[in-house]
This record gives sequence, C-alpha cells and structure tokens, in this order.
Amino acid sequence: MSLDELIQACAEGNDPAAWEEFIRRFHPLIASVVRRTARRWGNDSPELVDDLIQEAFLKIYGGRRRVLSGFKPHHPEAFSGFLAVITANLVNDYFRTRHSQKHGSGQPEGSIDDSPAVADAAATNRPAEHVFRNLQIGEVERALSSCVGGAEPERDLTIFWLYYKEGVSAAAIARLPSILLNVKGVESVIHRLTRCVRERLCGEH
Amino acid sequence: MSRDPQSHLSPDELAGLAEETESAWHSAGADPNRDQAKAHAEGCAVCGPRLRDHRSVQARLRSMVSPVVAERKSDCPSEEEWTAIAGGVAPAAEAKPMLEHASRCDHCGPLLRAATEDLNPEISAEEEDFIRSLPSASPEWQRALAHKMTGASATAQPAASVAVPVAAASRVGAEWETRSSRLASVWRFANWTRWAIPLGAAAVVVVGAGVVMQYSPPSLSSTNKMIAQAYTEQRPFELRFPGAGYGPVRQERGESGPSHSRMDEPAELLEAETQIARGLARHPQDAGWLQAKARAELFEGHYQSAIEALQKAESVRPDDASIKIDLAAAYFERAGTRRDPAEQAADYDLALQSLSEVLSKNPNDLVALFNRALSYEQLKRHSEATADWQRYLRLDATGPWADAARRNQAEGMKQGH
Repeated sequence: MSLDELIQACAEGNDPAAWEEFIRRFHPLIASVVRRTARRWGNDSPELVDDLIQEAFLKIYGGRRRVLSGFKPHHPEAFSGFLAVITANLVNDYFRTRHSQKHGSGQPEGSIDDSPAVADAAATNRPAEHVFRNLQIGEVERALSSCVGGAEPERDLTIFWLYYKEGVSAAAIARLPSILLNVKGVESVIHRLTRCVRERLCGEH
Repeated sequence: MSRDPQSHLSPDELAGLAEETESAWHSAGADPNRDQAKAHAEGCAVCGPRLRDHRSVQARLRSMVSPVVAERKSDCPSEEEWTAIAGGVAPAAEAKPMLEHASRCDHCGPLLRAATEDLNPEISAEEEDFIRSLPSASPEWQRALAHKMTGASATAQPAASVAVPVAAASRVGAEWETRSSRLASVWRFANWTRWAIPLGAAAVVVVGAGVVMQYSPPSLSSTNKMIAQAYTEQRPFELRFPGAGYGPVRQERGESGPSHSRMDEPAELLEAETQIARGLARHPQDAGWLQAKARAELFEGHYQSAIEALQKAESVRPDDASIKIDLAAAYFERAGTRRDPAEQAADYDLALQSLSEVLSKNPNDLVALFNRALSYEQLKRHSEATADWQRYLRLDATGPWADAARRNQAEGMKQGH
C-alpha cells in the first residue's frame, strides 16, 4: 500500500488493518521522536516512552479526519515531518505540565529551558565567557561581511551562524524550510565562508 | 599520484588540515597525501605557523556555539514554532525570517538545534536497539492498539490473520488504565494558526491555543458537555441537540465532502474527539462512548457512521431515550443528503419512529418534541407538525427555542396552505 493510500484508508474509515499498518510503519519515527524529546527532559524510561507513543497514536487517530484527510505533502518527507512535530509537541507538553504541577499552580509553564540538559549547560555559563564569546562573534562578523556574496547572501549568513553559533548540523540545516539546498550544498556554503573568514582573521587578505 | 614532500600546502590542503577536529588531527589518516601534507607542515617554517593560525581560528569558530539558552525576548517565536520549522512543516516564506532570527538569537538558536536533533529522521543503531526492545514495537501490541482505537473486535479479523493474544490486547488497555493516572496532566495545543492555512485541514489538529486536553482517564460527561458546547457555538443543523443551548444554524446540511473546510470548527470538538478515541480505546463496546462518537460524527456530517455507532449503542441500551433522539437526528440529517425521494422519506420516517418512541414514554421531552415537529414538516405532515409545535410552546413558551418553534410553526402553516 502506498503512503497516500494508507493515509486515505486511515482518514476515511475505522479499518483496524489500515491502522495497524499505520502504526507499524510510523512506530520507529514516533518512538525515536518520543525518546529523544523525553530524554531531553531527563526521563526516557521505556515505560514512559511506550505510554507517550500510545498517546501519540491515539491523538492522531482522534483527529484523523483533520490530520490525515486534507494532508497535501509538499515533499515526500512532509508527512513524516508532520507526525514528528505532533509527537514532539505532545511530549514537550506532557513534561511542561509535569513541571508546572511540580512547582505548584499559578507558576509559569515549564519550558525546554527547564529541562536538565539545558540546566546543565546553563550551570557552565560564566559572565566572562559570555563577554569573550561576544567579542569573538563581533570579530567573525566583521570578517564575514567581506566574504558573503552570490545570489543568496542572507541565506548563506544564516547557514554560517546556525552552524557555528547555534550548533545546528549541516544535515539539519539542509532539512529546514527555505534553505533549499541539499547537505552537500550547505556544506559547500559553510566551507566557502569558513575558509574566507579564516583567511581574513589570519590577516591573509 | 603521491604528493611532493617539498611542496607548500595548497589552499585545499591547508583548509582540510585546518578544519580537522583534534581527534582527527591526532589519528593516522586513511589518505597518504593528507599525512604527507601534515608531515610537510610540521617541518616547514612557512606552512607550519600558517596552519597553526588557521587551526587556532577554526577552534575559535567552533567555540562560538551557544552553551545555554539565553533569556527569551519579546520577538522570539514560541518553542512550538521552532518544532514546526525543524519538522519542515512551516512554509518557507515564513521560515526564512525566523531562521535569520534563530541564527542570531541565543534563545531561539539552541531551541532550534534541540528541535532538529529531536526530529532528525535518521535513527541511530543505538536508538534502533532501544526501539526494538519496547513492548510497543511488537506486532501484537500494535495490532491490539489498532483494534482498541478503531473499536473493532479482535475476533472480527480475517481468519488468515494472526489472532491478537488476549494478554497483549488487555495489556494495551491495562497499561492505559494504570499509567494514565501517572500521566495525569493538562496540555495545550500550540497556537499554530499560522501554519494551519498552508497545511490545509491537516494542521487543524494543532490549532487553537488554549485547547485543553486531559491525560487523566477520559470523562464521558465532560466529553458530552464539550460536544454540546460545540453545538451551541456552531449549531450545525436545525434539530435540537440534548444538553446544548440555542445558537443560530451556521452550517449547511450535507455530508462532508473532501472540500469541506473544518478550519472553523470549535476547539471543543477537537478535544472531544480525542477523548472519544481514548474512551473507545478503553471501552470499545461502551454505549456512552459509542454515542459520543456518533455525536461527533453527526456534528461533522458523517451521518452513516453516526447511525452505525448509534445502532450499536442502542443494541446495548435499547431503552435509552437520548440514544434514540440522536439516532433520529442522524436519520433526519442523512435524509437531507438523499437524492431518491423514497429513500429520503424512509429516513424521515425512521427519525419519526425513534422520536415517537421517546415521546410515548415521556411526552414532555422538549428535544424529542421539537425534533419530531421538524420531521413532520419535512414529510409535509403539517397538521401533525402544528400539533407538536403547539404542544411544545405550551411546555416552553419563552426563550430562543420557543422563538424558533414559533418561526417554524408559522413557516409550516404557510407551506400547508
């Protein structure tokens, strides 16, 4: 059964065989998103992951007509991306709620900022390092200004900063909307700008 | 061709060696030319310092990665929006300025990075092992969940298929029962209205800030209240609906086709549908949940599905007046979609029968009386309709439903003459 046929079958009816196939096909995707997101919050026990996987499928089933009927994929991975987004939001909402319940009512909702992974990172932050980093960024920014060119200078700058300043991988950048480059294309932009910036900062040009 | 050991580093060689990580730098390369270039740089007074400078700058570039999530600023998008971007479901036109923002914002950049890692479609070998070890990875668990979700009986499967082990089937339900209490929480859908339009109806499931969902065991009464609230907010047909207040009719009658827009449907209905799915997952044959499912189907214009669910519910609770009223509504609405006048009349007759059964036991049931009067009108039995309207107005003389009854009565009398 093609993906389109499967989506149609699940959207239109209550056919358990279609839903079984749907669960079989998307279980790895949903499980991986649940696990990674839950891990970021510090609890990826198999029991909880299973619970949240079940929640995700029930949620998709509960809104199947809306989720599935009108889905018009922009590209082959669009549907997987869509399910992954629904799943990640579900898991984040679960932990946010747990977090806000833990801290009593009336408190602001939890945020990914509160997750242990981010808290650990925050603990390592120091004001002096922050100032030094900002100085470095300013220096690189000046060098970079003479390196960008071509048809998409803004996009190339975005790629460069996402990669170096925010730590987003080239493969992940290539998957982002509006970038419109494959992984090799993104790597090529990073390589070209990096080389130019290095030469500027080494005083070679 | 092997490299000339005396040649200075070419720009590509310099870049390649400068960009190597520390671990790659200290490991023996698989490429003999790279090793020779490195050996040359180590002994060359020109290339050595130059390479050291480049490696130092490269290390500084790598150290720019934001170690923390900075404080959120007023123009920062929400976390959910970064998830949508990372999932590739946001429209490119809107994503572009947001990505520019993320590339310079130490609050949003790390959130985007985290989202891209979580939504990475590639699954590592370690993750594969973990996923394979989950009970939910087993075909039995998946089959049981599919049957629970759809309300189908496991024994109704084709003989050729593998029967669902009772243990597995009950485990899904049992786990749900026990863990759902641990999962007691309230969560909100993200405000994704911005994505909903380009994504079409698919995105509506996540539209609507403030839609509240319970992880606690689903409550039938609250689900029915939500459906009634949805009816009040966006009354889809003329018939009265048990428990719902008055509202103007907003939707034309008819089965929902593919072009039917659900963008404006009330948030309560979205939540009710999820609660219903969960309720039926736990109690697939429960008349109350079947009725709730039918009400949601009816609201959405899926009259045949509503009738089937209500017939099942009626077989469990044959004397339940509310099921009969709902069943009558489903027949009535289905009649409106029939092209064959005989089939249409048959459906209105079925609606009449159900409502008359209710009224024979409780002649003062206002909802049944109102709906039966409308059914008589459809069958052009105006005198009987008038009798029902008059009785209705004696029982309920004031208020918006009484006003509607008067308008209908006047209209019916006009047509009758």
